[in-house]
Amino acid sequence: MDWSKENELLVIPLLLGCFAVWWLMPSAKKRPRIVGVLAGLAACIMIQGMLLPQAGDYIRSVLFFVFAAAAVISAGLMITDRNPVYSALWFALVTLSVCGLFLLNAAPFLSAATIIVYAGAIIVTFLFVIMLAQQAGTATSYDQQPIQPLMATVVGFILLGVLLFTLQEWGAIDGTSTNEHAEPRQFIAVPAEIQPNPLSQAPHDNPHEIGSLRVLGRSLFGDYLFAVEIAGTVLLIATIGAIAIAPRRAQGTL
Amino acid sequence: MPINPKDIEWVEEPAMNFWESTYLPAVFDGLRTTGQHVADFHPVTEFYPEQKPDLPSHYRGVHRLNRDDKGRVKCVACMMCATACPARCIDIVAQDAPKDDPHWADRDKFPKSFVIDELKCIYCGMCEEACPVDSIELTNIFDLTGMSRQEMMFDKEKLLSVFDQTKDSAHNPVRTHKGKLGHASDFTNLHTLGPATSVRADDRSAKANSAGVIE
Amino acid sequence: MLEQIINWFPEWARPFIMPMLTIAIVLQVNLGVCSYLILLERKLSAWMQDRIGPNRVGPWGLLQPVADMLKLLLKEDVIPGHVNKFLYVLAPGISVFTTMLAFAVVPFGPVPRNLSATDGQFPYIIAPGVDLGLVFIFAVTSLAVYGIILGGWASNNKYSALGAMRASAQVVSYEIPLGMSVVGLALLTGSMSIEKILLHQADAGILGWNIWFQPLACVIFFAAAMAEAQRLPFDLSECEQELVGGWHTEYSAMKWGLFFLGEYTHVITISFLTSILFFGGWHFPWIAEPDSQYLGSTLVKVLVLLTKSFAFIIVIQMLRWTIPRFRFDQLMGLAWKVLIPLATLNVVCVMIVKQFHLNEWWLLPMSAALFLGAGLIGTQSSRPFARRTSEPVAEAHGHHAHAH
Repeated sequence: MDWSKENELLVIPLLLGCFAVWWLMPSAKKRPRIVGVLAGLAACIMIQGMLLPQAGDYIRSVLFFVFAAAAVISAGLMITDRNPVYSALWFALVTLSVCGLFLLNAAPFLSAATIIVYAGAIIVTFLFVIMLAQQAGTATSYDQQPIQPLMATVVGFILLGVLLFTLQEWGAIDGTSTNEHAEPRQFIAVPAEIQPNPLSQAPHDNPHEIGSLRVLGRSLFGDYLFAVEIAGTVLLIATIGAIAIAPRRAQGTL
Repeated sequence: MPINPKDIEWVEEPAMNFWESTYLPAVFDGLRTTGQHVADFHPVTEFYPEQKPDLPSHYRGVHRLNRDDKGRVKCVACMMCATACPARCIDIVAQDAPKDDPHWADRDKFPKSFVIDELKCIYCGMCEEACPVDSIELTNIFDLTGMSRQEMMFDKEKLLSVFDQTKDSAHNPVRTHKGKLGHASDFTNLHTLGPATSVRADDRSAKANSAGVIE
Repeated sequence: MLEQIINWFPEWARPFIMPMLTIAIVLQVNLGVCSYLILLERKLSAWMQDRIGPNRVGPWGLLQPVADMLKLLLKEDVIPGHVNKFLYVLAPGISVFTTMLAFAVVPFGPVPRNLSATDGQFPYIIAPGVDLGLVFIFAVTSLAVYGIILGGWASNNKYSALGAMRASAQVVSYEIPLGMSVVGLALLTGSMSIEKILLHQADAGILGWNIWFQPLACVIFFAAAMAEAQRLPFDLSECEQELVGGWHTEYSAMKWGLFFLGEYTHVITISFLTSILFFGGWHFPWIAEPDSQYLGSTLVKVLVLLTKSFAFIIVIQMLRWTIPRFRFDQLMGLAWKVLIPLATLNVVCVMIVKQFHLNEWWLLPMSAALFLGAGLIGTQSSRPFARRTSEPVAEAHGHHAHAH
């Protein structure tokens, strides 16, 4: 039982969060929502103790917690809202909050690109489809109730738990947190300093250059060239596939 | 009835030439046109309350009831206008003309009451067309206002007063000439208005036996 | 003087003074300019159509914006009973917020080099030193579509919904050529910071303005930006003849006014961006060079930039009353079949020049060749909406005969 004792700080909030999300999922039976909300809040407060933003920088910590709370709460609402349109809007808020976190971590390009691609295009397309598909009065239960709420919640939280455990291991090992009182159980949510990629071609001698276009280009088309090309190829294949599937004009659509 | 495919005339999009397909010359061409209007500025605006519009003489405004040369109402209470009216806004009560009065010797009937609901009226001018004695006419008065619905029911006296008011104005209706009333058949020196769109001889509507019925 | 004012404040507050001051100035000026742009647009459209335009309030109608503003503020703010109230109220706010936020990284004067937040220099930009300013603008303006799509959907009206659908498809499509068209500039300058792009041109003189190297990109940028702002000829989402008012059909009073304000702020941003990115910003030969230090040179630079932007605002407004609206398939075709390939090829041209260290002036004939090539392809392409050559189906004949 050593393991569980050592990790109860992580396991209990995870279980609580899992229960909260399952409880709040829309279902045929009316459940008092307050139970799920309280459980979720308790989980958030418990896990909050493990998040150590960079010490000393007051504004940074406040911003981190604002963005993080907005992201987690919007994500919970996105899963548990009955109305698909609202779910899509909560999804947009999640994206924006996460982009705020990216900005805090000196990744402005990633942040802006995520906003353009996800918030500006993909979620708009979601909304487009939902608004077209959802006619007033005909909204039946099939798009308001999850099919497998328990399974989905459990699997999701197992994934979250694995991620958190891994992060915790890393935080304990490298210990670069500026927080003097870092305990081995805690992990750093905002890394104290950005370690240069050892494979990178350009040494980051100028800290102001982090996040600039030059460094970004080096990183994307130097360090991660293979990943970028693979991703590009996948997207190209998807585009060609979409064009191939789409009916021809001679077939009478459009 | 489905449209006969032979009657469908397909209009082909003309092929774009090189400069048209680059879009920009057309854009600049349009900008030149609009820019010329800005540079060479001749407004056609009329300042309405100060400047009254110069309406064409066939404008259809408020009705009037004409008087004949003896000052009597010209109307013979034949009900043709009320029958022709598509909005059914004309209400006439006819009365026999007094037989023993030499003043009314030439008339059988006259309207005891003649009421037009100016709010119901659609100002189509059918009454004017129907009238055999050129009694009812539409004037150039267009800015008709009223504080109540009752006020907008124009009775015989009101309609006659419209005549008194407009007979000497520059915009006296075409069929009467400065208060001197002609006969209904005096159409000879009026030019007819052409149709709104030109009709070709091979149009279906032109070949139809009667107006409004196709095949 | 500004430095002394800043020093009155406590230490922790000093970095906030300048941004706050700049935001206040930009916001107020923007509101005033927007209302007078509406008057200008009404006057301009009147002149083009041989009318006089608003002339009753004040001399030459100059107080018309005040009357309009008062009317919008005092009018009854109708919220129809069938709408989704929260989103209905939120949508105009999003619309204004995003368009105003986009202005944060647009310089409106000569931004001092080596700027710091506390040394009392007026920054002439709300957020100085944003290295990815262009990407920031695209990110923020891509969010503006939420105002439209939420307003349209929350109104619970079929015309609003149709307008919102059109707007979302249009904005998502035109973001791509908009972003692609400025990639060439970023490659030429080596930065995506708007200030740096401006300085790069100013240092190179009038023959270093990006319009000489990227004329095609300028056209693509301008067209795509107008489509993003839903201006005619791209205002499919609110076209009056088909959709009543489009996505703002159900809006009235100040909520409608906010949508309008957002649109005009967008127009101002486009004009500033076009003049900064392609026409040298505040630079003008002899009177506003980077090293001109005469008295009032800063003011002259601001005026030069404002004049350039104003010229583009006039062009945008003249285009509105000149060009008829596109059909929706033409709109999408323009984005996907014309602008995106051209923008991509343009980027490839810049890459070739940079890679082989060619003279940058090669870009001018390259752009011209791309443009003319596109025109040539346009003459050869098929017209998809011309008459179908196939005969009508046999059933129609049978039915026809039966009817006889």
